Amino acid sequence: MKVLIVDDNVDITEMLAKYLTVKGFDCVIANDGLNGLNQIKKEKFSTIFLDMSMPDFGGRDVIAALEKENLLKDQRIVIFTASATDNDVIQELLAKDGIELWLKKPVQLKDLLRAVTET
Amino acid sequence: MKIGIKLMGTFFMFAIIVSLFSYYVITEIRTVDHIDEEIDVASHISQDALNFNVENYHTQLEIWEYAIDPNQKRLDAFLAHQNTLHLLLEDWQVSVYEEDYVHEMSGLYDGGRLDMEKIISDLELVEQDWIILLQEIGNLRIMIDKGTSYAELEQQRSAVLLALNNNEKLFDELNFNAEVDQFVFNQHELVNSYAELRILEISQFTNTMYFLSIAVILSSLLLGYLISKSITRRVNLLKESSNQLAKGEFSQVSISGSDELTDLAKSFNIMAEDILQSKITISENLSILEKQKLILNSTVSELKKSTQLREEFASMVTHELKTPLTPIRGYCEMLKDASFGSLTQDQIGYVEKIDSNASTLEQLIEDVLNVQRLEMGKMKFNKENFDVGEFLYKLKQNYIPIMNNTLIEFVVANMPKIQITSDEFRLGEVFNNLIRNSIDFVPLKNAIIEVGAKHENGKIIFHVKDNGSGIPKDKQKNIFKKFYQVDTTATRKHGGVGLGLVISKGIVNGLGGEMWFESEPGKETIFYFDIPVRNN
Repeated sequence: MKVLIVDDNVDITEMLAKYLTVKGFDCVIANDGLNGLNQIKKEKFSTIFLDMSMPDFGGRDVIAALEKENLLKDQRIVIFTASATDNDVIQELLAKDGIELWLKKPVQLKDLLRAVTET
Repeated sequence: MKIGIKLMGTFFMFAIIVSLFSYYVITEIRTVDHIDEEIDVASHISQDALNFNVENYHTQLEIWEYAIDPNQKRLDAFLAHQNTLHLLLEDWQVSVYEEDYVHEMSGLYDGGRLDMEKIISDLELVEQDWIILLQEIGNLRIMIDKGTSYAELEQQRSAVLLALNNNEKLFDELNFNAEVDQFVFNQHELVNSYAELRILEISQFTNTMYFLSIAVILSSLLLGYLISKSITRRVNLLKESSNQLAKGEFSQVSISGSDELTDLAKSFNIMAEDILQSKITISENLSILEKQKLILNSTVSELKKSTQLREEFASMVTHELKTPLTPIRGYCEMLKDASFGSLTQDQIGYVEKIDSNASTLEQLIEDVLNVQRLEMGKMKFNKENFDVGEFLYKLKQNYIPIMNNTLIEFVVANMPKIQITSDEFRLGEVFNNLIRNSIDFVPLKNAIIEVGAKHENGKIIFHVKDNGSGIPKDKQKNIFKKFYQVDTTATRKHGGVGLGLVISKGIVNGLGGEMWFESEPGKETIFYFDIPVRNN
């Protein structure tokens, strides 16, 4: 089961990947939205973790790009949001086909594990 | 306790087996001794029973009865004990199982049995003779009692002797003593054999137990080794994971079993996850802080820009404001000098008025600029060494003309000879501000203004005192505020826009000191300010 982690914070992506690897998952890391988008187009992931507070090409841009090419509904995306994000914004994103869950930052490991295992 | 229980169980089992073995061996040895004793006793009795001396009969006829009786008793005892021996022998036969020993002991037993039967049949033969002997002796007794004749007694005595001889002959023929010796010897042999057999039994048992003990020791060691290996292996797994964790990596340990070590492993895993979680939270927070720092930096640079703009604006404005004053004052000067022709006294007076107002305006602009500079901390001070006493003296000299004009008594309380490192010019400005205020508030008559200085704790405390109308209590807290002026009912109008004290205080603070005052309305006002002696 392959997992993609997209977040601009290098330390966080490393730590999350290490954790999930120990728990038995194959992990791929992308530290910006564009790289993340390329990875999604390249192969199929069982779960994609997408950070919504990245600079430049961010989470919203990735989602928009996937929507445009009608690829969004085939994915299983879990979004990371900063604690200050509006609830309306979150609900709007969750309503889209392909976006499963949202986790509030800082990410809790047990929530992360649950998100990957509950397919 | 589960690990401990496993270990304890092993050693306990070993200890029990060793104890059982020791106990068994000890009890077995005692049993053998016991049987030996019994046989010994029995054989002694049989020995004694057969220990009669035929010679007794020859030597003392009178004590025949006494000689015979004990032996009779001994014989009875022997016959009784032969039964015991019988039973003992039968008992032994039951537990004999070793082939060779069986044969030897059976042989001895059968031999013993035959010996015994022979002895018994011999004794039965002997018994017949004995009875005859006793009868003859009895007859002799009776005859003695009856008082029979000597000849008949002699006859009877011969009969007794004959019976006795027969008895003796019979014993010799039977080889009785030898038979008994043989029998006793055989019994001893039997006992020894039995003892040897028991010893053999025990030694075999002992050997078995030795092998068993070795087996138990080895298996305990093996068990102990396996247990400790299991413990060591699992502890090493834990150590590995701990080392990884120490390096800063995430690791989980999986340990088999259901004892304290597995519990420890579970705790370790939870701890590792907690640590990772903390790291994630910290990293997240750092990110946020970084972003905030960026925002902060841009705000700060904006603020700096705005301050800079303000400064430029202020200096530009003041410069622009001052510019027209130059021609105004210039022309006033020239008019007063009669450069354009003479003027009337009144005209000169008017020109004076224009000039003095322009001067006031110039001062006000300067004040505003100074306040601006002080607020932004941009006022530059020229610090130099000067003498306090001299400074006060010069001050007084400056004010002599004004004081003469206004009939105010100017007092210098003291002129201490102390060196101070500070801005002499700006300090002069402070004094000027304070003295000008005092001038406006002192009474018309008997007005006194006093200045002085005092050295205390590395600072010079200057003061300006006047006996003027003072500052009302409710206005005192506002005295250092910008543009504040106490409403005055004094005869001298107080000019300016209320910046004098603000500037003075600003200068004093800028030079490293404090300004304060004491005022009693209607009586006096004293303004103090302290300046550090050294620049620190």
